[in-house]
Amino acid sequence: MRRLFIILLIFGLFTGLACSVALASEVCYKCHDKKNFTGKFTHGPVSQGKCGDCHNPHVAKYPGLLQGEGAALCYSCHKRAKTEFAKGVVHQPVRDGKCLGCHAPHAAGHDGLLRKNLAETCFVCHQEMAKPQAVSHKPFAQGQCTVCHQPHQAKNDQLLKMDADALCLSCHQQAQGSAGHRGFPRKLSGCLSCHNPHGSSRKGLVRQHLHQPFAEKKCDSCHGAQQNTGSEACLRCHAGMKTTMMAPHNHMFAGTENGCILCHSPHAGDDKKMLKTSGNKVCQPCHQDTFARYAQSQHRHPPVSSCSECHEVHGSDRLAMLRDDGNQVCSRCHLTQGKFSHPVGDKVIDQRTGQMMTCVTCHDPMGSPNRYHLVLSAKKELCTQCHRSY
Amino acid sequence: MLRKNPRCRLGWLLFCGMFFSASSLVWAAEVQSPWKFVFSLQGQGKGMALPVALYVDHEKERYYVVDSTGNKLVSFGADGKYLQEFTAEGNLKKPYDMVRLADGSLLVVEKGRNSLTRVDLKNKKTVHTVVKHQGQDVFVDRLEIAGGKVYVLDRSSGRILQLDETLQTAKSYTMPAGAGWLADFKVAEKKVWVLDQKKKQVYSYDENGRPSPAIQLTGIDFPVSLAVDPAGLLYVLDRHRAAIVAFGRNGEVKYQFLTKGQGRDNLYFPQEIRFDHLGRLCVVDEGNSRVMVFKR
Repeated sequence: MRRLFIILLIFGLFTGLACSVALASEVCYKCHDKKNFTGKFTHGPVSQGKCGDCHNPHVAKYPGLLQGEGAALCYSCHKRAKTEFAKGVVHQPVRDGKCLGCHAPHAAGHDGLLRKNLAETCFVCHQEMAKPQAVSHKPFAQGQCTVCHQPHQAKNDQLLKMDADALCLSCHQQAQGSAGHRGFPRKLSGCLSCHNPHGSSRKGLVRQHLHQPFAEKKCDSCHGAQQNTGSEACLRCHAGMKTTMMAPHNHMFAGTENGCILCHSPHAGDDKKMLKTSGNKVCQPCHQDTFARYAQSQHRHPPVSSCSECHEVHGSDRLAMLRDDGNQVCSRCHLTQGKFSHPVGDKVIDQRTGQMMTCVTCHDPMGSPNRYHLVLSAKKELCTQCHRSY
Repeated sequence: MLRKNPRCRLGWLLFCGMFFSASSLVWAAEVQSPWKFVFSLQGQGKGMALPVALYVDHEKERYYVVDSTGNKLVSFGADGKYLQEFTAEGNLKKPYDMVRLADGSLLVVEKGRNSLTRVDLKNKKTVHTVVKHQGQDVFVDRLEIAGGKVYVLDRSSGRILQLDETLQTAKSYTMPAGAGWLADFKVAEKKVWVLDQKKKQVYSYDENGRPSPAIQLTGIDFPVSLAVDPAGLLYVLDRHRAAIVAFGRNGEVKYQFLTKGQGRDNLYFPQEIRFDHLGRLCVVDEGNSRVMVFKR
């Protein structure tokens, strides 16, 4: 009797399930045009008519009657991805839980349910990459971004599949003995120091702006036994930079190598400053904790094109190497707040520290759990730090 | 019931065992910091602008705080009471660190001149020297004195240099291949201890320049200073976390204390730590314009 009951129960479950699948596909498509849910590649639950896996047909907390929000809903099935995508360097949309930035949830004409073809999908955000170049790297020209980059996460900066040099030499083994590298004093390394991996106006993908001694093939100007070592090798010519670094907080760094080349390429670069990478990326390798805090914070200053909009890059007398005091650096953009706000400036002293009140006394632009990226909650303890009688 | 029922007795024993092991685990995980706040060194009037370094005169039992933006040195007594300010008649340009030499004169790192400046207090004479090493300008940074010998961190070459009386290089400590960049160093236990900010490692060298194996530090974000405790621990100041982390000599984290903010147990962009003449731990808290002193 007990066995019969179990068999009937299982049978009932299967029948119910089959009915619900049929129901979902039948009922939903009565209003929602089925064409919009079919394509060359279709999401598994959609092809099986399991609309209810993601949507609630009656009521839901989230727009689109979704059962969950953002990546959390995707990870309810793609469980392994949740763990994998949290490791190492994580692509920003993945970190922000925006799977739908690249993927279509129902059907798409491209593998991996990509909304557009691979390169076009990448160019939606990386717009500067879409600019045509006179000379293009073959995989880049063919739109094969994933030949070098991982789309979700990677162990290496720039989401590279492996260390940059190893990645280049995995295809370009012949580069070791090529004419361009004749006289290279050691095993080829630092490829990206001279070459742009996507494209350039120069032959051999050499970056746009050349360091003058390099352009004039005067290697001995910097290299050789007679020349200076460490940062002095650069500062001998760029004496003005040395003066800017003569400050309590500075980026004069040297370990066993020249500190200048942590940020600058000594041979060729994409801009006149010959920075190794563009925008904020040049700061990230050393300031990973700050970038992580910024990325993970619920409230933060909107992204800026470069850290140097607020911070000095060579040397500063101020805390956090700010370009100006904590008011001036903000009021360049926040014009109104510079005039009408809580009193700030050199006549208003923070009683806790004896320093003048500035915007950064209350705000932390690099990220905070509080609204307006306040250092403490405005509803609780922020104001009472100074206004104790309240 | 416990006596009568062996099952119940076993269960009781198991419960007790689990309770004690859980308690000991919690105790081990939350080793409390032994450090208690004693006093703060703060200037008078406008106070200190941005203090960046502390020198403890063990002989005179005095504290000297280097205020870089205020272009002054501020001295305090052993009890933390303000004594006086010294500006070398307005002649200091972005001072960054200092020591007192055996003859009573002060040796000051001036970032604004990239010089080691000898201040003869008796004769009111100031001499600026740009130190050279192997024909190159030394980018002077942190300064130490131990056993009558002066040591300076050269940020340009990434070396620690031992200087003679004429400020010429007597010895050079070169970091291991692949080292990052150096944030701070201290001389203790007849060794030079160096903090590598990038690699989050501590290197140590004996008097003959022989290195010991590097100590790898974990659980820190942005180390800026270190202090070597004769009792066996290494203290590392984490500027971004605004905390002091205590490490064993093998790099294992023992405990950490202080958090970010402006209160008594808070730091805001701290810059340096060092022990005073009584074995108390002092923190130069640049963002809060003070030096905090803690005792065990």
